[in-house]
Amino acid sequence: MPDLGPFVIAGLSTGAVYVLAGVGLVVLYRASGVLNLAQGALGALSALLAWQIADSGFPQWLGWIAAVAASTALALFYGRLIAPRLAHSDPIVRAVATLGFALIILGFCEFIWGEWPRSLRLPTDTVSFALLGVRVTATRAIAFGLGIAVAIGMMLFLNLTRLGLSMRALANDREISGLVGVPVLRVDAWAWVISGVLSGVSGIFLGNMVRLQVIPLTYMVIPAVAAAILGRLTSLTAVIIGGLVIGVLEAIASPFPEVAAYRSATPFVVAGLALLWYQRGGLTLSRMDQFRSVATSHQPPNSLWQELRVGIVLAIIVAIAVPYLASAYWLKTFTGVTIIALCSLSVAVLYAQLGMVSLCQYALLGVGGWVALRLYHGFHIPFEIDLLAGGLAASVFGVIFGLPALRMRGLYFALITLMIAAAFQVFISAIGFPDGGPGWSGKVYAGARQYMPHPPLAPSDAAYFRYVVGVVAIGFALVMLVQRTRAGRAWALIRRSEPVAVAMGVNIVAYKVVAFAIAGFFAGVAGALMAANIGQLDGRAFPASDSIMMFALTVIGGAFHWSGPIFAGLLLRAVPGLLTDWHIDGNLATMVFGAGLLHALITAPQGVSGQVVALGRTIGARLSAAMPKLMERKL
Amino acid sequence: MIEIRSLTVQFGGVRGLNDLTADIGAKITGLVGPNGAGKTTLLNVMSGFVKRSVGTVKVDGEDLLRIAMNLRAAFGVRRTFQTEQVVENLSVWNNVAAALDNVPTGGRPRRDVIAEALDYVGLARQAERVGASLNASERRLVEIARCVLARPRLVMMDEPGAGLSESEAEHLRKVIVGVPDFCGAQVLLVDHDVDLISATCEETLVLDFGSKIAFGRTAEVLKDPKVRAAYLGEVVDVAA
Repeated sequence: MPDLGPFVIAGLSTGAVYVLAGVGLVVLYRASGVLNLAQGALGALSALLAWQIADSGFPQWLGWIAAVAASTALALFYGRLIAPRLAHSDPIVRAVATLGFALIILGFCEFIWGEWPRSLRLPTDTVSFALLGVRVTATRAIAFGLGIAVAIGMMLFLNLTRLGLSMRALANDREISGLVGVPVLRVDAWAWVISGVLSGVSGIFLGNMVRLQVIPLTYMVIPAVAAAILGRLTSLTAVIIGGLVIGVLEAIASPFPEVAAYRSATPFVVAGLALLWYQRGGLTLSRMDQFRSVATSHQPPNSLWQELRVGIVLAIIVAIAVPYLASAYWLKTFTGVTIIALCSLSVAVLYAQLGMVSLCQYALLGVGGWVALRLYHGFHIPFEIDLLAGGLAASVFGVIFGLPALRMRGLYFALITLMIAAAFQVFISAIGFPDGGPGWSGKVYAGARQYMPHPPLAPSDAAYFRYVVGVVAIGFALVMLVQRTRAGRAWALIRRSEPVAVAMGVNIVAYKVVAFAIAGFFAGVAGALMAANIGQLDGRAFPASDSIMMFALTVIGGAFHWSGPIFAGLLLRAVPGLLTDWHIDGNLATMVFGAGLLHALITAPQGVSGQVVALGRTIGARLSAAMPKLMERKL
Repeated sequence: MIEIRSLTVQFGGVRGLNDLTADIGAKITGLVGPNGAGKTTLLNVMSGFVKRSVGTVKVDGEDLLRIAMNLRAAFGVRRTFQTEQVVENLSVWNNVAAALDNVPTGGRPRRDVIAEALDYVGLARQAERVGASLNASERRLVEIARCVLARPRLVMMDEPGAGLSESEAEHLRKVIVGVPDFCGAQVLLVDHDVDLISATCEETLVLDFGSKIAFGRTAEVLKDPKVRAAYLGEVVDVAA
């Protein structure tokens, strides 16, 4: 048994920073109903700003002040100007909108600073003392003290001060608080200020104690969310205990080689278990009718045959034309676009049919890819069977891990999927994808990696493109079909309002499971297709951020029309290629996508596809109105 | 037959329902009372959205509260809500079909069951219209069509008459009155509109602060001085 003392001490101080960040999330959520997923991005910006100012030769304290001031100002900006536009939306929408803000900040930081390894030194790093025979730096001691002090301070603040009372009132009911004279916007603004200060401070500590890189810091919000989930997004006491427990568990896994590689998955596993515990109380019905719900398509559904016809014609044209027109590079890219469109479809099904936000579909794509690769290398069975097995595996995996949250409010489902994505990132980068090696993981550690070829039915790149278009077209057709069955009608009822669906006999959890299973299946199939497109998959290429991007682009593309996922595929796979061709920094695209997500959530819920469809209708209507006149003129 | 026995619902320190006991046997029963009297709470207990603290509810001899929430529609307990709940992106036909998906048709063809229900409420010719294009009265009728399908035992309506014009309310009244003969269900009607209640309901149950203050034949109940004091007093004064 190794000596765990040092790890416990290290874990307590990291845990205290999770507490600090988690307290920021909970205070803001309680006061304004927004779960600020941009908190990590704000922290990253602060840490880098503090580094930049010190690096430019200014005194360090100036950097800290400027960093916290910047994150506070940005939080206030979002809270005062953008958040109120969504104040009456569903909590899920308000939470995912902050992802748009996060992407903007993330793109900006990457654009300015890039991913160079840096380190943020604090003067307290050199001061240390011994505790239980362990050397503790003053930084860690301060982080611990501050985390606990802030959490306790916030509890007292919320319970004892007038402003704290107003915040609690706001959390209970915005309208009624306004009616009884609580200055809603001002209280809201204070909550955002607190959140901004705490993100800045926790960002500086994490930048020092974890590492000073934009993407890891941005996604440090995920363990903070895990700590917040332990407190059901409301209890500060539970956040303190939860944050510390997560920090310690994560750290004491280090000396055990069997689990050390997976230790960063601790927060997500703990949060998942907590949700499993919380949902035991039974089904919680979301009252969609209280909120302007996620946005509904009000267009009359076209007949199935009408939609299928358009789709089939389009698929045939694309399948014939693209291989003739595109270069080898672009052909591969368009194969990628088509595969991503299928994954985006899986996000769209959940979002458009049920208002469910899944932030793990790209991870499920990885699961499908892993299983397909493993089966191919292990048994050399026909690719079509790999494809189905990949789909089924992703489907089962998604359902098993998503199930705890399916009985709870929609926001929890979004959060558990975020946990799944984050945990998958940890596991897959440790395990890697099979490439013909021995053992259950099928990984080659020494020697040449093996590749998965295109299926025998479609050996060339052009043929494989057509193969993929065919598979993806079948996926789209299946979704259109299911929408018109009993399941589709049940989904529509659940969307309308969960109590109504229950009163009409719908088993809500069962139909959500069905939807999540279908979505997981498509993501998994997409993963198998992707594996055979590239020949292999890279374990480091499945960060949680890609699943978030997948969601954002699906909303931007438009989840309510079949063309939306195709736009999403183009944005995600073709646009980066174009930008490289044009020598434009790809981080600008991240910022544009972030702004696009906010725009889509606030003013254009139907996304790009909705606007294109509306434009097509307008042109059609104008043409048919103008036609008789033109005919007359000719006569 | 609905048998309610000492039904109590406790919301923190407030009693939503207080030891309510009643045998509701009439074909159409009104449920009236001032705001917060517990009318909707009673409906929500029957639907399963609110947990009772004490008491039982039996419908046709079956212990309703032991049936899983989502199986109550198939058992025969159906309802409408205060705010209309038509699915806007489904057609009228599919709105009704969605309700039939989860209840047994009794071996009859689905198409016939849906067509009959639409015909009954007077929407037979609107079947292909999409929910979003319906007006308030049509939406109410779609909701009633969803409730009267395939042998319900009890249809509960929460303020179906709110916000309708005179002629629309007249049609609605006829539809409600005909429900027991059309499908054999008892009707429990919550409404503030005393005219609607007295025109449709044989019996009326009056609640105030969660307690029963009167129950019996509608005409007699509405004359009861306790009822007038609690609820109808204002209406009578204004009329006088």
